[in-house]
Amino acid sequence: MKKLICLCLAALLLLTNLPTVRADVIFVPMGDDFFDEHRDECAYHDRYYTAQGPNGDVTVYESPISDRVIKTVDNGETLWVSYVYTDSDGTQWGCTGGWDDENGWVPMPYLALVYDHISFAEEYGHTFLQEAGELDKKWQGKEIYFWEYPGCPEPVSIELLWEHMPSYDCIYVDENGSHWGQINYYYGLRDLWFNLDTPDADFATLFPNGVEAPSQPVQSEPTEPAKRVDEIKPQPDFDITIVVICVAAVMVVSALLLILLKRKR
Amino acid sequence: MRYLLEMFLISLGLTWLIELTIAAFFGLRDKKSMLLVLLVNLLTNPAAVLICHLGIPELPVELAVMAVEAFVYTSFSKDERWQITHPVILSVSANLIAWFAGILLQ
Repeated sequence: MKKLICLCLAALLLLTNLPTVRADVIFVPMGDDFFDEHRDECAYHDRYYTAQGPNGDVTVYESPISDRVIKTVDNGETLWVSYVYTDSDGTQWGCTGGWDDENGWVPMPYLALVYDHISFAEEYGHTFLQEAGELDKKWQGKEIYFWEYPGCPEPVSIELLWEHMPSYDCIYVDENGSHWGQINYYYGLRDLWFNLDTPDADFATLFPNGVEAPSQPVQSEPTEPAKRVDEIKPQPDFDITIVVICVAAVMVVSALLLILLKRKR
Repeated sequence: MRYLLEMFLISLGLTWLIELTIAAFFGLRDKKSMLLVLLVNLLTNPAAVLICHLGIPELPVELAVMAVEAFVYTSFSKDERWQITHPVILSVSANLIAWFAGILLQ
């Protein structure tokens, strides 16, 4: 029965145009040995970044202790960071990859945060009004827009098919005097905003003149520098000297066996 | 550590498989000849994998491997009982094919 409920919920989520919005499904990297071993030290993060490496790209490693390269990502490309791990040197590593992408770890200092609802709350949280309420029932069955933050470029429209209407627990009034309500949770959607005055209005309607880009960290152009600089690299959990000694021993033994083989024939 | 071990074992296993097959085409089919091919690759492959892992480009490493293997096969070819008629071609072709196979598998 539990399985059936899960399947129904999964189908419902798929049917409601959810891939582009935040849902309450917690991602767990599959087949990531490092994550499995250090799960308690990894903090769930769930934020997007753009690559901003010092050499024009960012290297994705197998783990913060393995220098096996999974791939390199050109500066400017977007990465989703699901978890963050802090190593013994204090360097933060972001777990990147998704449901159908190979998992890997990148040094967080080489990533620039994409402005999101957390950034918005950090910037405008002090202006939020602590007023709770619920969207009017007249919007039931109609499509309304959910926004990562008021003025985000790609709000998602969702048809309100459910019995309960989205409720908000704080209000933000933008520079045009428009009221926005923030939902903490609504049928799998989390931390989104909707416009209280005209919930069905899209970006062009609400912001005909566009919006000023939110304050973002300065991003360098994805260009190749003249000289590659030393990058943050994983600290392997083994001593390479031991590996070198083992390989040298194998070489000596095989050379001796070759000499023996030559003499014996 | 585990991935490093896997890297060594997979690389050596595949190289043995490919180079034994190529050596068979060159007439090295008896047990001692097969042992020779196994030992030659045990001599060169782990070292090559380690050197590449440390950041040395593959091409010079692969050329060095070919040279070492060609040297060993040539020294064995002087004894006619080994029936190694083209030691250099054997080394070059076996290593080139193994190298390309490795690239394809990556």
